[in-house]
Amino acid sequence: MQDGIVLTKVDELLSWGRKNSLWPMTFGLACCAIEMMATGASKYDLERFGCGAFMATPRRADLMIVAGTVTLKMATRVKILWEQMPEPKYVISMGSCANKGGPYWQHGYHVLKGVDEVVPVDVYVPGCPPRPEALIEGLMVLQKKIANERILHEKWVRNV
Amino acid sequence: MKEYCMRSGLEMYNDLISSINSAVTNANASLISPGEEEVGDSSVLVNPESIFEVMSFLKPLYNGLQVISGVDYTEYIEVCYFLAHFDPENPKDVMIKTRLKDRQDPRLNSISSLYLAANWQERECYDMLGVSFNNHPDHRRILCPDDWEGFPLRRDYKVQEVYRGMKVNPENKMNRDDQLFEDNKQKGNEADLIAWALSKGL
Amino acid sequence: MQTWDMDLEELKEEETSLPGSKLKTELLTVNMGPQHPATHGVLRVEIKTDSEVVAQAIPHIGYLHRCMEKHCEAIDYRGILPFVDRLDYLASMSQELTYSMAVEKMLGTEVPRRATVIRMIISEMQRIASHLMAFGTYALDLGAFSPFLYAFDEREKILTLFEDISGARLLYNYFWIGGVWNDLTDKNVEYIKEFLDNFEPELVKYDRLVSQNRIFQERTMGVGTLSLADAHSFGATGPVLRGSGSAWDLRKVDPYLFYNEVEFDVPVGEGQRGSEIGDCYNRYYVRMLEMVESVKIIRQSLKLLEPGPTLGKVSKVIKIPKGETYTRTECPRGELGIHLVSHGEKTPYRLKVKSPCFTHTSILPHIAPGQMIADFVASIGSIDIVLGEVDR
Repeated sequence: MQDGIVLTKVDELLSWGRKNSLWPMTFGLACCAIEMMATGASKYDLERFGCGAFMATPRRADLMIVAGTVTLKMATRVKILWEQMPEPKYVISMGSCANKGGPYWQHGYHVLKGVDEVVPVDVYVPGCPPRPEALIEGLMVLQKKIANERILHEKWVRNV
Repeated sequence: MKEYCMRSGLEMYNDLISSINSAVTNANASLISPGEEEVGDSSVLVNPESIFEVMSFLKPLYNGLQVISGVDYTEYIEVCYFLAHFDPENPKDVMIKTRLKDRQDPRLNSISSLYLAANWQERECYDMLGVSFNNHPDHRRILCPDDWEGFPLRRDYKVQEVYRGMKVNPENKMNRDDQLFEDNKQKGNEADLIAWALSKGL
Repeated sequence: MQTWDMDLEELKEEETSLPGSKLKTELLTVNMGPQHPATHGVLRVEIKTDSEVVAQAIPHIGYLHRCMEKHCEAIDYRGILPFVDRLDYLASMSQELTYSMAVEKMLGTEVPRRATVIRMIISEMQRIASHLMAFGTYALDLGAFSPFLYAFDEREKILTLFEDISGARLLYNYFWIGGVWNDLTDKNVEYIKEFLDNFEPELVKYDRLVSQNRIFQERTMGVGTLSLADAHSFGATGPVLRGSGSAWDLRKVDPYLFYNEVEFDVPVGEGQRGSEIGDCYNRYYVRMLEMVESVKIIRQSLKLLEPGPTLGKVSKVIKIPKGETYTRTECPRGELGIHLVSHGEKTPYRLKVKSPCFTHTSILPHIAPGQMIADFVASIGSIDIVLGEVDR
């Protein structure tokens, strides 16, 4: 199949559908989880971005928001859960603990210094904890990133 | 400046110590009180071998165990038991301490048959400081993973480099610049400090 | 080293079916893993079940162990405040209060009167916010979605006030050693009064919506009963102890701040509306009644507010003389205790935190046997644990 106007338009339609219905998996670990719940509640509504359905199981989710400190005991579980999510999947690292260890980086013998040691991350949201508006901005940056993806091109043109 | 425990004066402690010494033979209970330049609460020091008998004697007086806290002084490891009586008409509390001189394998008798709270508190003491408890129903680590090496809250603890294939302290995530800045500032090397800051582009 | 395989082998030898059943069954191990919508955080419970009835429940914690006590040995006294905040992140002001009181007791600092009254008002507002969160998530665990949204809406109003005075929504760093760092303006006081006036009818609404709801009552009455003797032996405090029948409240027994100058009652679980003393319904109902009492305390404290300084005199570098102390206060989830050992340096020698949720999680293996798995979820929710405090 050749690259042309039809393929790009279909790609745009698919990306539009995917970015406006990202279903997150509930992966709240610590304090940032409370801010994630507050973002999902009625004042800062996540439902209007299409992310209203928080799936508890990774099999039906396509976005994993790692909110909170990842410890070494938990890190193996993060990896297993990420591997159980079907493609295409995205990861938002929320809060400074998930970015780089947070306030516990200096003497934390049991803290994983950033979740990108075990899982590839798409968007980092800084803050301790980040405000709901910051998380929504992170989500919108991820939506921009998804809008630029071209799945059909990757699948049909590049691998031919 | 001396301050006593919340609801008690030294007379209460002296009564308690004499009754413990008369009830339990090898207790050797004595009072530790803040000295001239010291502040804080008083406590009762007992022999480590007699801890189970002392607790059995104190159980009718204090019906709840709040917390077991371990402190690592380098010559000995001190284990403090905080008992309290949860009765709104007659509230009281006391701190009982023991000192363990053996750092290789410190052992104490477990009191989990007397106070149900001691089960998890003693597991945490084992996990953090390495104090083992005889006759404990479930003697394993509670906070750190089961295959962790070392006892974290000891003064001479060095964290392991790798745990199950993950680096605990990766070099590119450790902030060394702040430490270098502090070191240079303390040594008073002003010129070096300015040159270093310019090299970093600050 | 004991592992869970060993437990299964031992149990197989003794009995493989619960007493009273005629069918010979085997126990199945189910993992209620660290990632679960109904455990409040990263708690892993290993449940051995006989079809739907729980035979044994073993909680595993430590998935959020953030080495706070090791940090406290290397960081100076003022810098520990953000770490103490992050213990029970739903009631940060109460944790800061305990720590500041411990350090002030050792230093002998005098806290100005206005700062103490502000501390009391803010602690009680924090108690209301924390209990609202407990109420919302408990109803969510049992399947009701609307109370969660109502509770979060009210909680947002309290968080707006906290953001105005301290700058942050969740983890404040507001109670400093010696007082509070920012003052309450007249606008804030008006906001508090308006909030309280709107809040009391809301509590009546929650009572009619959830507490008198037949389904909620059937799910929580008679479930997870904890007797008073067991509660004392486990060292339970807070709503868990008060739900089992004891009137133990540190604000009355050993008053700190100005709690001896205001009048309030201590709600005790008495088997209201046909429930057993010590079951999930009583623990939940004690929290709802405590919110009413907190409103009373705040109204009376607002009258005690007088102009004055808000931060006492503390030296630039804090060094505590040698000694140790144990300070405890009544937090929304129980009694938080801080054992502070100092050797006269700029950092503590040892800071041990007695967290109420750690003690309460050890109650789970005791009340679990004989319940169904859905009842077990209700028991976990009624104890109201926050894993940041359990694992430190």
